[in-house]
Amino acid sequence: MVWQLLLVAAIGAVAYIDRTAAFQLMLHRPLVVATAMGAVFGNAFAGAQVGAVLELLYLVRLPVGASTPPDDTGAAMFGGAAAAVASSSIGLDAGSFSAVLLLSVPCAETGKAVDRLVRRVNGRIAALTIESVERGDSQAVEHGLLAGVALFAISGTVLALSFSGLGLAAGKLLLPCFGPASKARFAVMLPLFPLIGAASVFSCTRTDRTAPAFYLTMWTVFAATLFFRWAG
Amino acid sequence: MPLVLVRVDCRLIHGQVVETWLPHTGANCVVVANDDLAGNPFLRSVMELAVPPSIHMVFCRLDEVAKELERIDSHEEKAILLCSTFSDALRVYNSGTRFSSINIGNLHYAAGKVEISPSVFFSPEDFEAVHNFRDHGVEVNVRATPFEAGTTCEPGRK
Amino acid sequence: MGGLTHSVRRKVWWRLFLLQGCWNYEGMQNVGFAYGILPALRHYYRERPEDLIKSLKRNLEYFNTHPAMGGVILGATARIEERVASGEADPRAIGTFKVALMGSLGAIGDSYFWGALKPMASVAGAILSLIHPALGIAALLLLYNLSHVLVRLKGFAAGMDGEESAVRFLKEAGFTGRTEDRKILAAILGGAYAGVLSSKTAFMSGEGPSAVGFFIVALLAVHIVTVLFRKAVSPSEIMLFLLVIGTIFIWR
Repeated sequence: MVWQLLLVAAIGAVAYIDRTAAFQLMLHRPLVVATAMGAVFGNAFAGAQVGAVLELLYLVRLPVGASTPPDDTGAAMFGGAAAAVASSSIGLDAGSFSAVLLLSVPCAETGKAVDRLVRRVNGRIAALTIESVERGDSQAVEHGLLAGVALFAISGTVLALSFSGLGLAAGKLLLPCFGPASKARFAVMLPLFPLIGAASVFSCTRTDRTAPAFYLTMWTVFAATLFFRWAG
Repeated sequence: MPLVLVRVDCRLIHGQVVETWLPHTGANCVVVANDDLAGNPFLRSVMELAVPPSIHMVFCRLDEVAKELERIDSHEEKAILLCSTFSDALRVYNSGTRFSSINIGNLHYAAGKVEISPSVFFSPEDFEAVHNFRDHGVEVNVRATPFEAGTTCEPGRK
Repeated sequence: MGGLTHSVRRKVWWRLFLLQGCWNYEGMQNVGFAYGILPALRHYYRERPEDLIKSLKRNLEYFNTHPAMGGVILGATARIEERVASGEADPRAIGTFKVALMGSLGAIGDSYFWGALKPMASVAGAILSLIHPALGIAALLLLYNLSHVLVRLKGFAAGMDGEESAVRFLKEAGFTGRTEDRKILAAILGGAYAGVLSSKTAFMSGEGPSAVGFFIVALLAVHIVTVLFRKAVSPSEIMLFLLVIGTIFIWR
């Protein structure tokens, strides 16, 4: 239990620092984060399943300039944890899978709001840094920067603990409400989410030549794999 | 009228313009109206590297905008007009280029400026320019990317 | 090469990874930029603490570009600072140079990294994770970071050789062409991903002509979502709409 808490906190700090403050080595991507969360709570495969869908969903929103995209890292923390506890020995059922994806949206929006707040507080840090430099202290730059990174790390840890906690709670409640035994219809929506993800990729890579490339591949792969499924 | 967007942005060409506004408006031409750039081939060549090759880039002085737009119109292109400051945009407007709305993307912070949105800070002259545009019936909206809800600047705000 | 020792250059290169460490709305990457260039400035103004502070102040001004492209500008700025320190250049040249370059390099980096390379790596990762999660993660991280770290290394080295070499690097790297290629690859992979997953559902749901019907439905779904995205509807809004629809069905 304690080691799980520590691991989640560490994943949170690393992922959120990587997201904005430093490195940007893509350790914050939903596929990575959701798999890690799934692994911490006992089912890396279920986490990866959710992570792969979340990975593409928000790509259409680019982190350009001062505009902040929805926090897909946070959504993946929620989704990975929820998927791991909601999955049974045969994996994650379609109804719970859909519900996990849909319920992760508030996390993405909350994470975005927190990100903006952190950047506002950084404004104070930057102002203080400039004041100190004007007084002749060149080391203030180093202190200011580290304060900013620390702020991203702390907020990331807090977000990771809250989102994964919410994910665990949701995961425990999901199976009875949305799982195979329930009357819920969320299961029929499941095929839709990868398509939204694909549309997101298609939208952010749009040029004159990408539309035929996208639709032709979709048709070819669809026909080919269907043929092999029937044949095999 | 070939103009699909008139934008004030202190950074002129950058990611928000290339990756969000160009696809959103479907423009195939970018007019950068800036007196400094028009006389600096080095910086122009760097800016040209930043847009996809299919986009037609035009650099011109502020007073040449109307003439350039006429030429672009004859090619039936759709253009985005970029200015780096509010007063530049006002000069373009006063020299005969007409548009019905103007988008404010980024105007960076300096001491004494008032925050309008996270990336837009107005100086007293900027408020003056907003009044001027409003008097001419030009709508002023503050929006960094087309995804944002954006705010319309009310004339009473100061 | 400039008058910087190897160890100072390496220090600056590492510090560049923290360019966005104190990202704020007023100065954006200003503290990160100053943090990065500081070891170089300390070297140039070794015995002149007052000039060091003056120079640091101008490097704390508003700055924002794509984080992986920051090295090009920082390297070139360091070279100008070196000439300023020896009295050969006007410090005002630094402001003009930085402002002019940060927008263009931001656009190049945003298009290449966020608009092309990241979607390509993401969708490759998503497809391969259907085989095994570890494979997907490895593909995602490798595809993105090979190019990412290479651009950081080469860009910084080119910047450190001066402004002309920085621009030559940008031209020779051919970012617009690369961006276009990565975008098409990402779109092809995106199509493959949509194809694989909808054929899986079609196979499970029925046989024969219904599969073709299913494909048309999938195609329509992708098309509608694409149109919505173009109209600036956010993915969150679409998901919340589906959540409401789903909930209504439950309580029916």
